[in-house]
Amino acid sequence: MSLPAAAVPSGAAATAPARGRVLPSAMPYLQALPLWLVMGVFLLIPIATIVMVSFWEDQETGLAPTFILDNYRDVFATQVTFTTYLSTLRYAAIVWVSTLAIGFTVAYVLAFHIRSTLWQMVLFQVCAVPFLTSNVIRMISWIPFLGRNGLLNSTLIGLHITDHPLEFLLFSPFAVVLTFVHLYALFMVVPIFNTMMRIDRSLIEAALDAGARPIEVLRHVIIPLSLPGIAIGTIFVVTLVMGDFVTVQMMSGGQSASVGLLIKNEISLLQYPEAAAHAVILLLTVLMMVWAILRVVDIRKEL
Amino acid sequence: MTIETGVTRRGLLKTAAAVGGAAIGSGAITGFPTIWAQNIKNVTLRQFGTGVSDVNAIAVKCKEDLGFTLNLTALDSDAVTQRAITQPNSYDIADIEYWICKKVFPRSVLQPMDTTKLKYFDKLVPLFITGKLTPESVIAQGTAPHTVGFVEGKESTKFSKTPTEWLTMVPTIYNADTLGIRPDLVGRPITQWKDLADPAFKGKASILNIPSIGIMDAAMVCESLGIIKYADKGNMTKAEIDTTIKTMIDLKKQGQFRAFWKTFDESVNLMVSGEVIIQSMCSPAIAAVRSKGVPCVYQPLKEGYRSWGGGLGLAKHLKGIELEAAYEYINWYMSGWVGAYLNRQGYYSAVLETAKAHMEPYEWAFWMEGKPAEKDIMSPEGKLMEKAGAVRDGGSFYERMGHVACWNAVMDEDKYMIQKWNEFIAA
Amino acid sequence: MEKSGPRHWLLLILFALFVIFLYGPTLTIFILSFQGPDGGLTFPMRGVSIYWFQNLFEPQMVGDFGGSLERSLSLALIAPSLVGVALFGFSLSYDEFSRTIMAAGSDNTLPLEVFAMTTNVTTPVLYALGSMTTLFSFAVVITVTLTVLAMRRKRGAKLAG
Repeated sequence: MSLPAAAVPSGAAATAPARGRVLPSAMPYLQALPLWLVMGVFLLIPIATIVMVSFWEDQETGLAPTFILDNYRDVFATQVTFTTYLSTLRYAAIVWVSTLAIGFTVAYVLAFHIRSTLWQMVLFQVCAVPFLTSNVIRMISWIPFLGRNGLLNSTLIGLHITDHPLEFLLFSPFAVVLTFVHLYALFMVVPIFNTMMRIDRSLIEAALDAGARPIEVLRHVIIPLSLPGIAIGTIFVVTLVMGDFVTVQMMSGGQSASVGLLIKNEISLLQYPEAAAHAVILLLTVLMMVWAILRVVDIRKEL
Repeated sequence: MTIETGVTRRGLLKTAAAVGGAAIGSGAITGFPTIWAQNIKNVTLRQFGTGVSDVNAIAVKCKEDLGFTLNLTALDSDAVTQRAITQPNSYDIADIEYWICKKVFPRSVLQPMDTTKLKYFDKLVPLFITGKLTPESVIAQGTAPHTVGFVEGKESTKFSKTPTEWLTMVPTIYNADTLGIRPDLVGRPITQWKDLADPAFKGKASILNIPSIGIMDAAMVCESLGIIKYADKGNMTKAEIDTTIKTMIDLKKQGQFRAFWKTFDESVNLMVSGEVIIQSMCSPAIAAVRSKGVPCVYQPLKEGYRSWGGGLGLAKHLKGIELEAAYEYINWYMSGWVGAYLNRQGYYSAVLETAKAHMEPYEWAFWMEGKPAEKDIMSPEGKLMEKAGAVRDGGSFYERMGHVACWNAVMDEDKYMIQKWNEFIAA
Repeated sequence: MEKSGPRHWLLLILFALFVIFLYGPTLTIFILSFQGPDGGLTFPMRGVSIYWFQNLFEPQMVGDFGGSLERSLSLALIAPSLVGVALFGFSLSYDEFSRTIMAAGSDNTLPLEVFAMTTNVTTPVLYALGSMTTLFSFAVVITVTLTVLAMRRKRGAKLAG
């Protein structure tokens, strides 16, 4: 980020000597100031509000600004919280593995197996086009495809592969995972593709010249150098899945729980403090996951 | 965009806003007999609601008759509740259901309505005043509209048990929900709520996944199964909630349910696609299924209906000319044109007399008296709904609304209920 | 890296499968957006028509959908040059309905309308919208590619001359 004069108070900028004297040490801070302001107003304050409300008391006439721990106690007192977190984490894990496998392969093909940059660009965009359509539309478009009388089932029956419709295809955990992978695969492809394109091709040549087999090049050169991209993609996918409530609700036919859905149900009955307590815990969980990812991979190399 | 299906309950996305174009075009404003007449034309009223009655046609007609602009936004019932409470300045008129009103009104975002300013107050269906459809009726369980229909005074947010001069909302629309079935696929007569739990329909049943309403459907099923007898289904004890949810979890684990529906169109699509063949539904949703050429029956059941009602409330911030316009609008709303419009969609209007005046006798006989249709029955948009000779499922108005077992409700143990409901979904 | 041999082709086939996976549902909604006027959101098809496309562009629609569409599409036009970055923002902001519902004032925004459509609409007009956006995005991709090609050729010509 480079914000030269704009970020400097006009008085300081007007007089050149003052600038030379005062600013060298303060400059980086001043440059970062707008970012901090934006973050403060749009991120920190809302989160602080959620944390605050999570200690409030819910009353018939509204919220009472008190300091009680009941909301947190309620969260931990029930079995539902654990089942729900387990179910959400399971979705996150399965979707992460699937998108990683798909994303890495697709990025690898794009980066190393497509000859011309032009074709690279075209194929990349072919992958990107569906992502310019609304997520909601892409999500519900699976319903007529997977349904009892849907396209897939009628095709399978038509080909005599099965004689009765496969029910597990829709309104099931399978449908949820499939939709998640469909929605978020690109979030894995893009960062991995990005890091792969930055890998110095001479490193690969050198490895091959030194007698490494392609699989060894992949393992010892490409994968380690793609790690920052993998980490960024992972953060995207995991946070998106952890916070989701629409996909789980729609594709499981309302029969599967997610933390997001739990919070949404509470909000729908105006139980804001409970919802806030859940949100704080979800936030902490996701932050811990991101922290763990950052511990393993130094993504600054990428940035 | 014209309204095609007409029968869709929320299907009227056209409602959402954009009255603009067509409305402005119609400059036919006949001098309205109030001192505000000239200025009132400049007023824009912002109404939001669940889309049941947020119909574009109403806004267009309103512009034509009253001269001012009505801006409509349709949302789902969760979003409606949120907006009513958290953004009280974003609307002028709230079109909400009575169970939502029970949660919203105590938070002082709406102002009570002066009954003396309501021209048709005396003509309201007594269901909304005393809770009884006829003097002999028994008051149904749940959040019956009359229990949250009045407050104690002009500044009060406390519900009054008896009628006062201050209404929380003007009732506009109501109906009775029951099980909808695919007669071609269920293969046997359906007579009771417990049929939803019949193993024969394993993997082909569904219930509503709006917790506060879904629990009522669940209660109807449990009581019908003979598992439990509720003192008040609309206000369960913790033990009653436990039993109800446990029964539902068992059913879910046996694979009874194909999906749970949350919105009007989900219930329609589940039925049309054959994913589900028996589920709780509202009457216009069933009509919507039929309009797609798929057989579907609104099945009256021995135990009675689960009913809901909605009305219009005034935002707290309304005053002066805008408040006058709002009263003007509400009086117009009750004067018959809208009532007839809603009746023709399969809902019921809260002022029957004026609605009747705006309907043809044969229409009234079909929709309200349960008589065979003399002629083809058309939707308000002119689409064929029933052929001549058809009889309305569930019979007459009194047969339907006289057999309400409970109203959609908010319980005292709401917080506990939602926890258990989440448990059910997570099971 | 070797760019021939069985491994190369296997990877290309995997890539093709991914593309099919991406477009499979899009194809479904493309077919369904040609439903007859009485058709619903699911199979079976009830007649074939362009009714829902016409429907989409009728000016009377919710919050002037045509207008909202134009705005969002001009946004899409800028996107290709910034793909990668813009994609995330765009794709995510498109679906901000959950937040929009909570935060929006009294105006209807595009995400809110798409959401309202999914909850309130029993008609394939939604699919027509999905098909249109996909087709439009394709048109943009093709245009950009051709432009880049033309620019290269020009540059090549300059270098030669």
